[in-house]
Amino acid sequence: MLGNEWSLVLFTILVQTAAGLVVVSETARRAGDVHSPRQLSWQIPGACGLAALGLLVSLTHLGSPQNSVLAVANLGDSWLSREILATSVFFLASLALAMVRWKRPERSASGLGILAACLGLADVFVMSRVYQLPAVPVWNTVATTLGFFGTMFLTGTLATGVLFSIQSRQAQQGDPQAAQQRTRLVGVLFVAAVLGLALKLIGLPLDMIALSAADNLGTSGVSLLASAGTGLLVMRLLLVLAGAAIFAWVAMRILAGRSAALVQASLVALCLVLAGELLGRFLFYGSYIRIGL
Amino acid sequence: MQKRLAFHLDMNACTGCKTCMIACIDKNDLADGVLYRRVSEYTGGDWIRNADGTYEQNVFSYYLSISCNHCENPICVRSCPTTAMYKDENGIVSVNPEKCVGCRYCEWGCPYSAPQFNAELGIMTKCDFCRDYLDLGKPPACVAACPTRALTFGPYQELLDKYGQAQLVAPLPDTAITQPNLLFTPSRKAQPAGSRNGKISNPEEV
Amino acid sequence: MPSNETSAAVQAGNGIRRRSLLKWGAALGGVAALTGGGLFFGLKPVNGSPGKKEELFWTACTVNCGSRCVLRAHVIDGVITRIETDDTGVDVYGQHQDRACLRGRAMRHRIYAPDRLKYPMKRVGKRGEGKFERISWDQALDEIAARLKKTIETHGNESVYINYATGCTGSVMSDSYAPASTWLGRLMNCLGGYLNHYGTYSTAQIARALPFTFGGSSVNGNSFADIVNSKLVVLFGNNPAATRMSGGGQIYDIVKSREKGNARFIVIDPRYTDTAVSLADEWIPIRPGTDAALVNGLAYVMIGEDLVDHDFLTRCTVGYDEDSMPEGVPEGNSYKSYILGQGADKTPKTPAWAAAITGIPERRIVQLAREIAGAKPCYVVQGWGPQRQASGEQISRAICMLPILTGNVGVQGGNNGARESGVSSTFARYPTLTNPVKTSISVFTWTDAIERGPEMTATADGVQGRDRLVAPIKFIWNYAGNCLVNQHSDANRTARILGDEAKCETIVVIENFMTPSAKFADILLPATTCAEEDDFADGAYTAAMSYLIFARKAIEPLFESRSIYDVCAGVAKRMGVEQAYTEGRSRDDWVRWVYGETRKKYPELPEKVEDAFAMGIWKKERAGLPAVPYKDFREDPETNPLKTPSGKVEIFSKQLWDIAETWTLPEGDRISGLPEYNPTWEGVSDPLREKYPLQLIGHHYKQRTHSTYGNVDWLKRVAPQELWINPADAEARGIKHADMVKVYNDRGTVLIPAKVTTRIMPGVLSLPQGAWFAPDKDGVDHGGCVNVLTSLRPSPLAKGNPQHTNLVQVVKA
Repeated sequence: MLGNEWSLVLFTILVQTAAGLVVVSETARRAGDVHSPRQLSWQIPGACGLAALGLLVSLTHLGSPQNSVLAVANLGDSWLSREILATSVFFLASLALAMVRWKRPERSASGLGILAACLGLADVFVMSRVYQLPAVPVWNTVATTLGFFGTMFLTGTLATGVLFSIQSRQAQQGDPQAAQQRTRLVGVLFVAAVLGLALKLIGLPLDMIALSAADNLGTSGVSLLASAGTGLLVMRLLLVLAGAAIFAWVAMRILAGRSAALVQASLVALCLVLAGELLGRFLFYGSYIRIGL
Repeated sequence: MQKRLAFHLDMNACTGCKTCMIACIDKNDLADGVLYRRVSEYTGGDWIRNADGTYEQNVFSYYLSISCNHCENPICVRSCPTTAMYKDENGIVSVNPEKCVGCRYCEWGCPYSAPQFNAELGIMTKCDFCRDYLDLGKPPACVAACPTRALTFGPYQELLDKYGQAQLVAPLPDTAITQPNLLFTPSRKAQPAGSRNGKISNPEEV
Repeated sequence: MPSNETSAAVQAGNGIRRRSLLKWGAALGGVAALTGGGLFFGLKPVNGSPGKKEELFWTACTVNCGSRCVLRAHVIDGVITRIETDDTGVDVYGQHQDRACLRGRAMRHRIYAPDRLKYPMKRVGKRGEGKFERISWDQALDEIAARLKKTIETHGNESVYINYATGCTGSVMSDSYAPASTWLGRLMNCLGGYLNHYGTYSTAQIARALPFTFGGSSVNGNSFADIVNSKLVVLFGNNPAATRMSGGGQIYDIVKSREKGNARFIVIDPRYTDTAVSLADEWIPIRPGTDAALVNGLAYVMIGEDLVDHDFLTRCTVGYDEDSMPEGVPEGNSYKSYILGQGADKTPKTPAWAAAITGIPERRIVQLAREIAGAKPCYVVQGWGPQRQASGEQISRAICMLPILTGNVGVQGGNNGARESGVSSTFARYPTLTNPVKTSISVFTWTDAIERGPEMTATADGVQGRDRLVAPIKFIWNYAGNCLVNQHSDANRTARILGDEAKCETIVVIENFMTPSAKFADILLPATTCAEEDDFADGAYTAAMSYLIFARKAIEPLFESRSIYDVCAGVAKRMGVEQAYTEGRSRDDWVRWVYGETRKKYPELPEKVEDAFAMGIWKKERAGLPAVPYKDFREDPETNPLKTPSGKVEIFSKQLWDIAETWTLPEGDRISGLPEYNPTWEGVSDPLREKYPLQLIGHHYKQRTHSTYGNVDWLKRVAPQELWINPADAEARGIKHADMVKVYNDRGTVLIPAKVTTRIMPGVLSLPQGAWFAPDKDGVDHGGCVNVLTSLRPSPLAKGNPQHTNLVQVVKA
């Protein structure tokens, strides 16, 4: 029923990628124990760009965007109001973080970094709550939250990794301190990616259970999943797994201190994962089956 | 005006004629794709062919004419980000077009398809119980139209006393979700809530 | 759109948006042009906008549905902005509101439909192509008069035909049916007369057949009000939820009677109808055209188990057994002999025999026989679907056998098996003078009369009033009707017959819209709708209340539309019979004349017609118990005989026996003295099922009254045209719900979406009748017109339309 919600697909993936960028890169920054590693300098501005783009795209979903300022008027009851507020606040915090580090490169602004990362996490949580509607049993499970966080970790990690690999090309090969930093950073990325994959895999059977329960409800919704079959679901998983595999290879190469073709490879990995996630998100909206009439 | 108004549908009398829908379309001049009231056809049963070529069947079918139920716990009002969707002092749920942002979130969550997106206006629209008619002391257009008097309306408690408590037949959702102001006189064909014996068989019409 | 305007649009009580009105404005370009675009401007009905006074007018829906409803038009600046219906009184049953159905409520989009005819037109392309050029009223009337004069001079008055047309059958002042009660009839009577027809597309077979059993000119059943006194109600194909939809009419009657009474309801129909949805305790699906076989099986059980009413059969009937047979009929022709297999066919009509034909399990037939015989009283009633079959005359008589055998004729709470009747009030009629021509053909055989007129005879083709037609049809008047193509059978063949200009030389169509029939006009004239003129309408017959409707002109005639009275007056003037036709009266004068005459029948009506128009509807509650037809006869058949030759109920009709002896029938057709089951062409047992395995019927559908309202967007939206098909038949062909499918036989092909539903019996399809024929260049219909697939072969006795007798195949498109 909602298979054509492309603006929401883009909005959620863009904002979740942005949150992932902030969360993963700030974690990596702290794990790497460095104030301003060159390899992590573009992630926050990148996140700001993606979040801003996401917010702009979301406006195209609205029938009367001129009223959009009113959309935070029901924070007390509406998860949608909260989502808009949470995304805006996250965007503003990330923007502030980027501005501070651009104006004063010597400052780590780690407090603000932690705040931005927490706001990113909160935003993804709030986003997932938007879909937990009692009339939509397929969405109304913890799998929605797990899936959104999975997306955040996966795309955020890969985006961080791509920027990291681009920046790593200028890194000095012989510097032992840089190598050690690299190892730690890659380790964080690795853990984040595994976490993302794990969330996805946990969510999957929950999704299937909810779907099969919702199937044959005799309701008005027509499931995209039901009509397109499991083929799309499998394709989507394969895309994500292929991306993750390439990313793992890239990570190993970085650890081995070799940088040739890493940018291209990590870009390919990001594209595969993004394609998988886009497909997955279309399926998510397509699985909208509402009870009742 | 009476507070907490409700609709009542007598399933023994509803023939699925859709006069309520046309009266509503005419009164509100509804655009293509917008229906404040919809008549769903719920049909089930199977056919068995006997060895001698004759047939056995247990087919059943009934119609449910449903608009907004002006719920006591309206999920549309709760989920509306702008507060454009509101329940007035008499309990009527309607949209303030000045505020609506057209995000269609209310549409996602309402298990009765009450909020309807008007693509030309870019906002949600819906049944307002013909508030203007009520102000004039007239019944809502759909109720006044019903040829078999299957559809009636009145204060919730009055209807409850008159027709009993039946609120739930398949495939309507659990009333706990929104506490709809909707009552039924079920027919013997009515399937219990949660039943999977039938399905909505006219999705193209609602 | 600025938000303040949005607000007005959504909140305004009147709910009309300017956008929509502009759309109409565009559709009705002529009006916008004539009025400088001002007519529709400013109609965005902001509450209390100055100078935009809303006026209310009572009007009516006068189509051929069998109900009749009052409407109320809201008019602002000469434009109808809303339609309401009867909201008067307290709405207590018996004085209840005459609430219009969905179609009447959609009248606004009918009146302002984009295909509304605007001005007189003359055909320029080939006939049927739909190419016309605008002409003046004077030119149109001159041309009609000239052609009519030439036709009468060359071929005689019996070559002029007024086609069956019921689009305004409910109107008094612009009535379209029957010809003898119309202005067209009056005009033609001034000019020497016209070829008449008998029977209707609705009731051809039953109306012809039942008088042989019960006598008289028409046979009526007990009203639905009597159901409160019944134990069991058995409906054979009677579906008031689709055919009598008014809230002042029969569907409300039957719902009320079921609620008040305690009867069990059984619906016997190939479809689980909307009536079955609301009323039936049980649905017994039956193969189309086999009702008589079911009755035979039931009769076998009733006779075998001695459940028949011997007293009634002995006192009141002839032909039940060999003791009560008329003179001159050989032994073995009584009903009992036929049922028990002692007649000519030597076939006992056992439940197993009936099961194989009807598709109803043997066990159920046995039980049903006991149920019907055991319920005292039992109300058996048929609709007009069962008789619209190749042997429909026999089916309608056979269904009446159940009440006859069980003695339910002429009792309170029973019924004779005919369709329900009721009470009604009627307006006086303007005189239409006398038709000097006495020749009449069956309503269904006019295409035959075009093709081979003088070959048609009384005994082979049912010609009445003459042994043989004297002329083929050369001139057709078609006012407010769509039987020229759409509602007649075999649309493709009919189109070919009409397309030959050498045969029928002139077709004049007077219409509101560019219907499939209008496309076949030589001269096409725009008519007013009911809302555009003063009119009256008889209330429909109903169970509890009769009424009269006073429909006042609500808006000016759109474009150049003219009333049928004035059209005929224009022709009369040119033919030199103006005085004879008008008697010096304008239409308005006739309105007052008719009202005056009506007041003589109902002195309690207001003195002035204006007051009646202000009142809109006048109601009279039925007094006393519902009438029981044949009660007097049943109680004392000797004193109160029926108008049959024997004075009794004729189970065996000697008249039919004699007709069967003298008429010439085509191979396979049969007329018999008894109400036998006749296997027919394109019936369940026709070998043609090898090629076309599915039976096709065309049920009445809420979207339309026949084809009227078939162009209204709102109705198409809420009730789209679909082909009903059982899941078993659909799955076997890979058809899913909403798939486009192709239904075809040797006569044509229809493309239509499928409604896959358990509500229809396997082996049976139904394509709701009345959708507008829309052939593409290859002749494939995209409109869903069932008459692309129906046959022109008439039924044996009535020569009526067997439009539910069709074999077809369906495939995924």
